Amino acid sequence: MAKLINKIELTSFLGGLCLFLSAIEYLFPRPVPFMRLGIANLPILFALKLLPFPYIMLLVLLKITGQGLISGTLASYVFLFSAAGSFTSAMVMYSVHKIPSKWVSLIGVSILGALAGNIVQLILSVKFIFGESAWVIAPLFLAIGTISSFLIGLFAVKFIKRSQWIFSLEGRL
Amino acid sequence: MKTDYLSRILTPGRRFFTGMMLMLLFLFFESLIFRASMTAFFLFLVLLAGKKVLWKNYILLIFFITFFNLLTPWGQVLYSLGPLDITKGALLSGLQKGITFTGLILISLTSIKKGLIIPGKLGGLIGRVFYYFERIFEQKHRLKRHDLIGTLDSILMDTFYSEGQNPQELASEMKTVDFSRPAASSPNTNTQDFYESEQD
Repeated sequence: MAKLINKIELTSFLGGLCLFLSAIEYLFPRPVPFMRLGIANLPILFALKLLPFPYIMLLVLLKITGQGLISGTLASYVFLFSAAGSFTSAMVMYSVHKIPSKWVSLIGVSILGALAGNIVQLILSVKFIFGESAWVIAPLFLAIGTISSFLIGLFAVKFIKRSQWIFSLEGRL
Repeated sequence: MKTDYLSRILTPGRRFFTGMMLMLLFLFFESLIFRASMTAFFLFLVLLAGKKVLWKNYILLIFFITFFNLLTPWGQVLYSLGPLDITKGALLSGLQKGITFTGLILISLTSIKKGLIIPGKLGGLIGRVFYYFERIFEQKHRLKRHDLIGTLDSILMDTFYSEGQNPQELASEMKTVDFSRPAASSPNTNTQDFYESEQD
């Protein structure tokens, strides 16, 4: 019988992957400063398939804390925005993921999660930073989030289909 | 890499504590002039800490926050730019928010430094996350655009199974978050440098 994988260890590993993907993301040009593609959310999509809910929330906590430590924004509004968006997104993705995949694929899960996270961040930015006028940029913000989450979801689907690593973990958690 | 003068007088823990105290002081007084002065001071601290200041980002941030606040006019009209009335209330409120937001980012940048110990289980876990981050980061040269899935999968297989199943040996040294530690097999790889250089 194959050796069981420690869930905490896998969560930490996925957290490390989140930070790695954040680093990769900095290589892509950004149309507007502070706007991100969100490829660091890819491990959270993997986690939906691999880990139970509490570990997914732990992964989100590790991801945002790690990113906050590296970028130095752990003690700022940026961290709170990131936390609110990431936790909301993960909770929505987890809930939607429970719907059978014939109705909602992982791409749909990714898009809905991103939309939820972006909407929460928009509401916070309207409430605390930009004021009501920030709704003007909402369509652009949500459109970019939808396109990038579609691409991330698509990548996740293809990766999970081909990945020997994911395959090697199945049934061992 | 620029010299970090602050680390000569403050340990990471005291630096974090001092930063948090300054932040409370910053938030306690609402005067725009006070917050602008404190933000300038925080900027000075960031420079003392040897960190890069992303001038363009901060200026754009304050500009956009002020601009969006101006779109909801309130208070005395100072002047009109075409259809847009520049009102005193909206202008001051926008500047206040923009400067506060920027000040908080700057004090956060100053306060958080390698060697900061996060106590308890979370601290240990964060250490593990950074450990894996370093291990994966060492392998980044293996990523190929034409076979992103295959190469990433191969990196994950190698990294996870070479390191992931003997965590106890490494757990003790991972209590401290030291994310600037160079990767073992590539001395020139410093992940924090990578972030800072790419954030421009």
